[in-house]
Amino acid sequence: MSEKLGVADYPLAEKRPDLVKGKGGKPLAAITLDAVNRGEVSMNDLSITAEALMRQAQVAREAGRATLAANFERAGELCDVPQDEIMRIYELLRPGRARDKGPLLEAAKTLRETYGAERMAAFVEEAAAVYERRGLFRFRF
Amino acid sequence: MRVSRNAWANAVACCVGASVGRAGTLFQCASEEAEELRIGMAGFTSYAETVSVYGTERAFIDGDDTPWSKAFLATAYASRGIKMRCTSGAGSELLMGFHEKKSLLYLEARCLCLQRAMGVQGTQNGGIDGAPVTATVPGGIRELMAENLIAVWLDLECASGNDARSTESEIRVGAKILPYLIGGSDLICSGFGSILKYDNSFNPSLLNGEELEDYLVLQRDFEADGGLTPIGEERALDLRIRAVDAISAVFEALALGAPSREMKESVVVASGSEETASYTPGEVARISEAIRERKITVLDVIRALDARGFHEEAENLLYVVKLRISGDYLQTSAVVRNGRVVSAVNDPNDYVGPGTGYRLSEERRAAIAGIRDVLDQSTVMSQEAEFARHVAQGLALRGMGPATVGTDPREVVIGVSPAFGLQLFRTLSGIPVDDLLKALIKGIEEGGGVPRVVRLRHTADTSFLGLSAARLAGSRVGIGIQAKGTAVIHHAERLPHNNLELFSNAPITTLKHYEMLGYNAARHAQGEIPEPVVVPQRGEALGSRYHARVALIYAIETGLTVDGAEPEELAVSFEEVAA
Repeated sequence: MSEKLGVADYPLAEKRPDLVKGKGGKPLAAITLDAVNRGEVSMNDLSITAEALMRQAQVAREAGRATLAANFERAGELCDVPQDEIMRIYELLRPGRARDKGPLLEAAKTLRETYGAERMAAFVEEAAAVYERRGLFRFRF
Repeated sequence: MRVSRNAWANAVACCVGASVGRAGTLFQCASEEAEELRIGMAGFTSYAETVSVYGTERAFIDGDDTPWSKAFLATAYASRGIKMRCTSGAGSELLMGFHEKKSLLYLEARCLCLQRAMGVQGTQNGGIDGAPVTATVPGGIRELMAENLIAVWLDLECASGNDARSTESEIRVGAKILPYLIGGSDLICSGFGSILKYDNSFNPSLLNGEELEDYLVLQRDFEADGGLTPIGEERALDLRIRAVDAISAVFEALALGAPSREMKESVVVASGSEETASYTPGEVARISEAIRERKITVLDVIRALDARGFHEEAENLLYVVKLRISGDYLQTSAVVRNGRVVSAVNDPNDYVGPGTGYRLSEERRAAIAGIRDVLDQSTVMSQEAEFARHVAQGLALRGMGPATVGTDPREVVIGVSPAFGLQLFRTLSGIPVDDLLKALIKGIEEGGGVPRVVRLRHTADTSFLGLSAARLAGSRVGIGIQAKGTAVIHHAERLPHNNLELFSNAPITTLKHYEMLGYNAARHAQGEIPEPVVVPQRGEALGSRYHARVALIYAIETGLTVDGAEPEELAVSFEEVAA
């Protein structure tokens, strides 16, 4: 993904359909009702890719929305993280679920080492540090 | 959705319903966070909201989240190609942040800043379900407006929480949206609650299904595009039948249920759940459970639709699901219009005050002006003709040549208007013109007068009808009457608009009043000054209810006037008509 995209390329599905593919690698034009009826389209084909999110981040950044762009970049890192793992980490981030920062740091390590999710790992580590400072690890129920 | 276990069935029904009529409706199915994400993953929703954020750490924790857990959730939605917005609002700040001793607006501003920092594209704010409590404090309503303004300043999609009804006062509801209508900003309210109030398991919205017609008229009156386009009754029914058939076909094809004809018919014409004879919440819960357990996805639904002949709907649904591949609709304020994703990227908000920003095109202006049940002259004419056929056959008014000036000092002339009994057959209070004439004649006779009826065609104005009649009368007293029932007692020596008695409130004037009118005219004819007839009114908004019809009726009367036309003698006969 060397080409840098911007506002002029948006909407990508309209202006740059050559760049738009689902996780299964199918371009938009291949995902037709006939293909669905023949059973050739899976939910995977209808899933957004990390590349697409990074491109939307470029568009958002050029449109002056740096924080929205950063969220798209983090989301790109979560694209290939399984649903259960996402829900497990979300649950850990809720107040009082972890008794100390250990489980959060462990989750950050998994994100970084298993999924290459550097930004997300840093995000969870930041949360761990704040939770410790603010006493959010206390037991609630 | 009143029962959270109904979430999956609700999402399937909504995604099928949203594919009927046109493609590109993004919708959400708010549920428990993890469940909502799963429903989105199965492809049934394109959008998530009610991800609540709070202005203080303590309120956040009471909500069982932290800024980091919510931000994580926001990222998770984006990673699945699902659009998302947060929710915040002053009411929850008041309830949950009471001990912080900070202003509502300060706490809400923190919420909004947090949403921007999280990288969420938009917010639903402006009090939301807390709007009612916010509206009870001084400055509360202005605070709600300020919340929306801050959201716009922070460049967030703003689905303003004007949708929570903050008061039971209709006037305060109207007053709340008026500044938005006048300002001409893109935002009037967060959308239209098309369900009836009693079906809203949160608070009723500011504008609910009950107010649909009002909302459509507000769009027209203020040239404000609230996103709704009026359609005709038949088109609406066709779409509803199609939608109900489509979801039934999907249920049958996927062996989830087999709705009976009665169930379907009840839903098509229902305004709310109380009028439906469909599944019970318990039955829906079992369907919902089956959708989840059997891991049914949107692809199964698309195939079912197509297999059962709902080809267009299958295409529309596939179109919406494909939107998530490019992620175009994840950008701020994205919606789909006419097959295109439009967002703050390719259509930025350039509103800087009244007269700027989004403006109605001529085409759109015409579309929102096309409200239903518009009254026009041909409608009035055909209603009158219909009425004439059924009710007013008993009256025969035969022209007898030019009217002369009478000599009998007891004579009272009734001057009827040009369309009286010819094209118009009843008063605004619904009295047939034959009964009306009978009452006038009876009253005149009881007052010791002698009635004579003439038709006047040079004018349709009540005062001039009355004055012209008076000048033909042997007593110099006449009655002018229009078909709509407006009447006057006049004297030949008076100025046109300085009559003896005026009966201007035709919609509430009864036969008894007309009889008394005739009686009084006869007494005036004999030089007495009788007690004027008073038609009591109780502040009815007669103008708003009748003015449009009056304008059209009067145009029918004036359409028959001829300059300089001579008064015509009428021979009146009443025939008994079988009821």
